[in-house]
Amino acid sequence: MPDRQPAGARFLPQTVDVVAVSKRFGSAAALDDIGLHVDPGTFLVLLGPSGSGKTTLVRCIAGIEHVGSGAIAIGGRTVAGPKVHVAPEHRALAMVFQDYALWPHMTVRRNVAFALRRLALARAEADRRADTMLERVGLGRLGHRYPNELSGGEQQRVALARALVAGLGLLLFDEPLSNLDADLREQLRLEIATLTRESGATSIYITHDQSEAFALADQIGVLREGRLVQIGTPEAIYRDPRSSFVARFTGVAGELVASDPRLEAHGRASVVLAHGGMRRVEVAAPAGVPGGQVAVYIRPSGARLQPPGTGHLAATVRDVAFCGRGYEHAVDLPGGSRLTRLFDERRFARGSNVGIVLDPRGCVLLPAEPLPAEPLPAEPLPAEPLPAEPLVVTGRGA
Amino acid sequence: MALLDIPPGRPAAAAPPDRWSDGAGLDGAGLDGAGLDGAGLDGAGLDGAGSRRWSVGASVAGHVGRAVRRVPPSIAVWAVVGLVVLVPVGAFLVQAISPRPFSQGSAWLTLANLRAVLGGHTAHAFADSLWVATATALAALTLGTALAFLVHRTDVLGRRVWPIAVWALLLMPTYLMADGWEYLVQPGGVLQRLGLPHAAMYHMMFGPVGVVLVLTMSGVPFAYLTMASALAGLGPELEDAARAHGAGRLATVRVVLPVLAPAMLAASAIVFAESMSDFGVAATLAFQSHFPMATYGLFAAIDTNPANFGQAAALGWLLVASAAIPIYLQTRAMRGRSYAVLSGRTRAPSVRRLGAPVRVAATAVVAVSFVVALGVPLFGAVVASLLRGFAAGGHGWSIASYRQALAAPGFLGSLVLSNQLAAVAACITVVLGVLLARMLGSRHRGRTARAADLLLLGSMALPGVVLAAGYIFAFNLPIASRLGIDLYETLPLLVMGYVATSLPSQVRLFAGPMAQVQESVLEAARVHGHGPLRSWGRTFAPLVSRTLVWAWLFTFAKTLLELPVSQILYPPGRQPISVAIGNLLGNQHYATGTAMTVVGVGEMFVVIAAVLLGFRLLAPRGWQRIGAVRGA
Repeated sequence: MPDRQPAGARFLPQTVDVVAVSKRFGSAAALDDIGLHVDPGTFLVLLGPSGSGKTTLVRCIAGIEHVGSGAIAIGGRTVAGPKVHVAPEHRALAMVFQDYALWPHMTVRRNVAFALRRLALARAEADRRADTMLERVGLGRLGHRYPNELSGGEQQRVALARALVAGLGLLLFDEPLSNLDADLREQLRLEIATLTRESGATSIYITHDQSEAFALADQIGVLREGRLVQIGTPEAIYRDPRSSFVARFTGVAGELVASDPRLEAHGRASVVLAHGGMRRVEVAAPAGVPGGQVAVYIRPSGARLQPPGTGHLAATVRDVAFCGRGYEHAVDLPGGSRLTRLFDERRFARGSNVGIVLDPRGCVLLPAEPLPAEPLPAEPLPAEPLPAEPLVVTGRGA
Repeated sequence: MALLDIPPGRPAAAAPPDRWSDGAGLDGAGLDGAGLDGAGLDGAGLDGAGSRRWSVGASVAGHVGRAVRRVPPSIAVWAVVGLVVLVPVGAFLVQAISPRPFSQGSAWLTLANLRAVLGGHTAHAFADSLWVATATALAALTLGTALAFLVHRTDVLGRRVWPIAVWALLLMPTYLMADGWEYLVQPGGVLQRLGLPHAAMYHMMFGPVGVVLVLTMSGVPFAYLTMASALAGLGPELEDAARAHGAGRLATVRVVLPVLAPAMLAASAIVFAESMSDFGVAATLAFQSHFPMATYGLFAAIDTNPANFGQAAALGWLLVASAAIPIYLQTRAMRGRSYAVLSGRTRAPSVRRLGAPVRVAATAVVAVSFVVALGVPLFGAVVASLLRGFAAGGHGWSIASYRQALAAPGFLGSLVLSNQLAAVAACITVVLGVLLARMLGSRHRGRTARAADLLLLGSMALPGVVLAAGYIFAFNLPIASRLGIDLYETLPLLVMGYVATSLPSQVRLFAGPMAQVQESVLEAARVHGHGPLRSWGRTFAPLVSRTLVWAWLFTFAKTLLELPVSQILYPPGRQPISVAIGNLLGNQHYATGTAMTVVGVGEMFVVIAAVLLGFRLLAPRGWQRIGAVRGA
């Protein structure tokens, strides 16, 4: 039994292999041919909108759900696959649940110590470890309380302590911060990042919040309708999205219809933007130059406001919002397009005309795809200006 | 009564044996991880399967194949439900239109039985039942809603006491309520013995008005509990919003009332169905008032020799249909329409402060209602049991009837037997109820769960008398013996009857608290290293422990004094207490009968008190907190 370890021992961080896993609920495919490999000690964030299958995937890894087909291995040991289903309690992993899943009839200390029973410790030792862990999450004095006597943030800390206390090699997080308000989310995100990395465990964390994903992850996997559509480092996902879905879900200020794409050097392309005159604009083209209809997906950091008459595009400021260190603008472009969250330290008044300068590092050329019926929930990342780089505008037209 | 004869005939050609054996060996996949590594991930089939793999680090080839198809454990539950409800009742009902396969006639398909019951005295009885049920539903809804509102939304006096009275009323069998009224108003009864006028009351109670009154009072708890739950979920937000947008008091009521409409529909449907299927009043007050009702008509049809199963089953069709249709319509009306008002943000409903005179008047209304519903019949029974020579002429007070009851041959045996049967039935019902409620509340409800839901809905509308008649019929068929099912005239069959009649309401009772417990509570226990049973025992069971205790007590109490199933299914020489009481009263031993009634009811409340006290003393503090917090 791999989960019977002598007291005091720590589990080694585990690899996780998901191989061609599919799962259906009735006629709906929750997971469709998912495959991924996670190295030991990696913090992988699975990012996707609701219904993308991320919760199902993590529940399959936990053993709460059975896979329909395919296989899952943890530490090289098959735990789910053809004729195999290792029960959750035998997978030597821990999990933090979205709704905390604390046992309301147990005190905080018992909740945490309950997760140590698989180590077969004496009660005194289990209590000691539980108390130590509670100290680590800042709840040392609340061990005697019941969960409903704690705030939401404290409850989630208890859940975190419970997941970490046994020192297991694989931690799963099912949207653990989604029920908390913004301040608490930030605090707990920091604690999760610190404590899990201290533990050295492999972590798989699911969220629909891309800023959470970028802040926590060593690797991000983006899921859509049960498929893993892209996986990579946060930087790669942000800079080189491979589809309009990934671009949109990880935050765009807007998207512009483009035509006549031509491949240029260094992974870039030039296009002609609708309503941008006949000038060619250089943009990033991580997926090459796709055939068919194309669009340019603009990150908030990929467009800068200029005085009117300059830049690549003319626009009218529709709204401006003060955000502490400057202003975020929403601008309307000719033809009905709109760019939002364009940051500038200066305030451009509502209704004023401005020029827009595009930065190719924040503008990605991808196949055009109609917007989904339901708007994506992602909020764009804060529009930190990119370091200055000379604009490359291959103007041939007007 | 359980000596019904089915004429021996040709072996039944129909009713093939049910192949429940398919459900054996339930979880083929197994839950044990032992020896699983052999399956490995190192097969070569991965790429051939055409899967896209994204690798963060080293590549691991895997073997891909179909996971084992697991046989759902629900099959086992279905096997039990099928044996206990579907097959016997189905066979009984089918033989009304197709008697030949069951050796009940020569026709393969006939409507003769249905035609027969739609004319003559059975039609009269059915019409009586219909209008009585309608009147009862409306009256109980009105009274139940008013009481629920006064108790839960105003500061009426005694707010802690009235819900207990509702539960006591819910547990009282209707025949005892009817008997209580009879003792009170009948010639030579309590009122007359106490020198009080009784003639007008007698004429009122021994007739349709009395029947409707007793059934209404029995129906009030159903309406009350449904409406109280709806009112509890109706936070002040809706009223506040209406008032904030300029609505006056009346307009506010018009806004809020439709939100309560589904609960009102549900309440009326349940009371209507309960009233249609009631046997207790039909066999006592209505029978003695020469006011025929459908359930008694069914009973009478099988209580003759030879039994007329065809007509009984035809009446069964009518009863099931008339009870099922309103419940089905109510369910359908609610489908696709969300009146959900409970959310994490809903605030507790406000309690209206009444002025002193209104408060006293409101308290009086509540008190009088419960006195009429519960107090009067109990008073009638208790006083009747203490009057010397009750109904036979005598003077003064005496406890002789209790001495006679305790000395009566078989009384203590009947009481002990009923307690044992009720305890066993309650245990089985609770276990099955939990399993079924879990199945119905499952996150991914399959076809099985939906079918079970429909079946349970149907079973709620299945009168106990129909079910018991179905058992008598089906388990006396020659094919039952050939299949080795020798349950006819046995205690196990009686217990099965009790379970089948209790289960539908139990599942409904469990469904709410079960749904309140997040699935993740159990999953968290599994993920953190505990097996399925331990996870249930340590995390899930404590959370529903109070509900389990109440559900057990509810079934126990309802079964202890249950009449129709006991009356039809008791084995010779093993009379449950309700049958013993009925026999004594039927043989004019009123004093002893009333004493037995009082002893039986008293014992029921003693058991309830003892179990609740035991829970309070023995259950860990954390368990009790849950009940206290959730009121589960």
